[in-house]
Amino acid sequence: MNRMPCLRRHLWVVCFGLLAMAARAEEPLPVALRMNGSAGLAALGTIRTVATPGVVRVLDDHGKTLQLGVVVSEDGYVLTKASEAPVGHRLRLAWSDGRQGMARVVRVDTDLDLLLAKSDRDAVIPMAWQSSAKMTSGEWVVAMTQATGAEDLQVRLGCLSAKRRSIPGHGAAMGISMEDMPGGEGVIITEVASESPAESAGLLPDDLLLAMDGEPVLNRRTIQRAVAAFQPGRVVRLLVRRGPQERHCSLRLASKSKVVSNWDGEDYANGGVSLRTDGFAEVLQHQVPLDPADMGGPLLNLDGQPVGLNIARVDRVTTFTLPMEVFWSKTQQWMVEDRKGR
Amino acid sequence: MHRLLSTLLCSLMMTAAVRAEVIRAVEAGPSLAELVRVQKEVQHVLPLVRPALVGLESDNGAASGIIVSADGLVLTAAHVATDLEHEPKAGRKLKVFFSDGRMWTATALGVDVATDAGMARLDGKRQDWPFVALQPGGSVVKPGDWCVALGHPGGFDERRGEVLRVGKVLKTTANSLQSDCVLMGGDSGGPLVNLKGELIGIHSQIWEGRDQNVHVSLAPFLRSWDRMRNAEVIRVWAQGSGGWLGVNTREAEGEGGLAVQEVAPDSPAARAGLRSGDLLLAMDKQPLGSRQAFSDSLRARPAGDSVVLLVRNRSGERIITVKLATRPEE
Repeated sequence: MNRMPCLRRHLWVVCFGLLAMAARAEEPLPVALRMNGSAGLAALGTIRTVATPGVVRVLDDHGKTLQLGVVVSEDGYVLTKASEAPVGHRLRLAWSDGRQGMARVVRVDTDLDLLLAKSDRDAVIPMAWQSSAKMTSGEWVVAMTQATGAEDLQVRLGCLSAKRRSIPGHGAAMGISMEDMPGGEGVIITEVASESPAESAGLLPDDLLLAMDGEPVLNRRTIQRAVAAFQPGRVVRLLVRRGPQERHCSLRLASKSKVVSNWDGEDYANGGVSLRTDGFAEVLQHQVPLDPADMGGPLLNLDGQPVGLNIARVDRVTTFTLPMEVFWSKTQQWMVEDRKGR
Repeated sequence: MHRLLSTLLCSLMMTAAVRAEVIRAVEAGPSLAELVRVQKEVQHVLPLVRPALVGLESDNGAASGIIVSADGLVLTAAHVATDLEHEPKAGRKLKVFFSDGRMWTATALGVDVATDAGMARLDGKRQDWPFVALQPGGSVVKPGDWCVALGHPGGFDERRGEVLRVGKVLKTTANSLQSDCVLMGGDSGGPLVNLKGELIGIHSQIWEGRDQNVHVSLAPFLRSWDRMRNAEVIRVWAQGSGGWLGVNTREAEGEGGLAVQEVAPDSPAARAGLRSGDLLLAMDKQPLGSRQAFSDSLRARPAGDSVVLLVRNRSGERIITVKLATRPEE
């Protein structure tokens, strides 16, 4: 149990008091009747049925769902989030009818953080985008989630929760503190941030970082500068020496602001956060309780029409959505060019 | 007496009928039409509450608060108003941020250490601050009610503005509410309001689950209002836990009311002549049926308050007035 700490500054964490009262509590509201319980969502059944064919799951090589995607044309183009999509020229997709298939990566736009892919399926049902321009705080929105573990995607309800705005980017980070090796080669890792790309890649304090993307690492400052200039989501290849062993590893960079604010892993996100949480030209912010693996899916209005694409799970209370106005005409253009080129 | 009883029975029946309807509606979940109605009310309430919402900042961190009077009284969490871990005291200086970007200062007043209720006052003599009303006494917050949380999670951010969450009340206790409005650091001290925009709680703490968001209810504020406003630190659990009658009851089957099982010696109940076997039918004209509701409404009052009880035993019915005391330390 925690007093709610503020991330920017000190933590306010005090535990006592209410525990004693919990024993006296009256019957809590059954889970089914809560806002995102089964009965609470019953009215959204039609929205789910109508939206499901327009949503795909992006799979890894083992068939695990990495994230969601949206069908954007009848001839099988699919749009998803770029920074956590598998790296390569092809994506494995699972469709709502249970079929799986590969899709060719057409375009990766690291500014928008979007990836367009072309599947070999034809005559599919694309989502019909609706403008989000008039939507304001307090308006209901619905998102698709695969968090329940069920085969079918489920819906979740919430409302637009803050101002529509741009989210400036602050570059990327690995999540390590370093010190120069006086006179020696490489830099030595002194600290690895909690839940960071460096931690996922298995880096440890005292590892010696020798090279990045084939370039020798000269000192702390040059590598920090190089990493900060990348967009989060970029994969870098490292050469690391631990004791007598040298090994190569890859890691996917995260948003620097997120790595820094979550250095000790205190963000209580319940389900984790996206690698990239900033650097967006415009976002809608909403309260729908989602997980990072639900990104790439559509955000729907209460008429079941998609108004944007969920792009980043930021913290316990925040998910960002790219409004369709930001990417619609660009993605139309990409499809036109790709059809011409074939 | 008979007229009073029949009035009571009548209201009991009405309550039962209304409750059955509510439960049916809730079990089916909200219809799309209800969701649209809720959205309309939320969007009506938002511009009313927003001007009274404040971001608070001290050397210890960033949090939230809500103005509840034109002369600038702010309700917040005790752990925002003072340092609960060391020596809780009034006087902490707070920077104040309004949603429109204006800044001001405030000074922390009293706190109730046991329940996390805290107060502050905006500095200066202005008498025209925007404020929200408290949910009036008599109306009860129930599990299943819609609620709206506002606050500045992560600290005040003018470009983002305040952050809104709509959800349901999940649980109520004597001093707290739990909701599925997801909170995080920086929300502390912010308001939970009903769909009329009336204050029902103050954000206090979270557990790990997304449904585990705890708010201080109004009860600790109401029973210690003047003392907290006078910058007193309410430390003693007995004071913090509200009024004490000194009876153990069980819910009487069929007939309604609460049957007295035990009367604590030298308690207000004992002094008023209550005995084991008496049936408590009503308190302050509100019919009694639930032990929990009875205990909660006693604890929502300060020691020293008087309650009027309608009591039945073999010799008939009588009305007694009992002055609540402070719960003795065990």
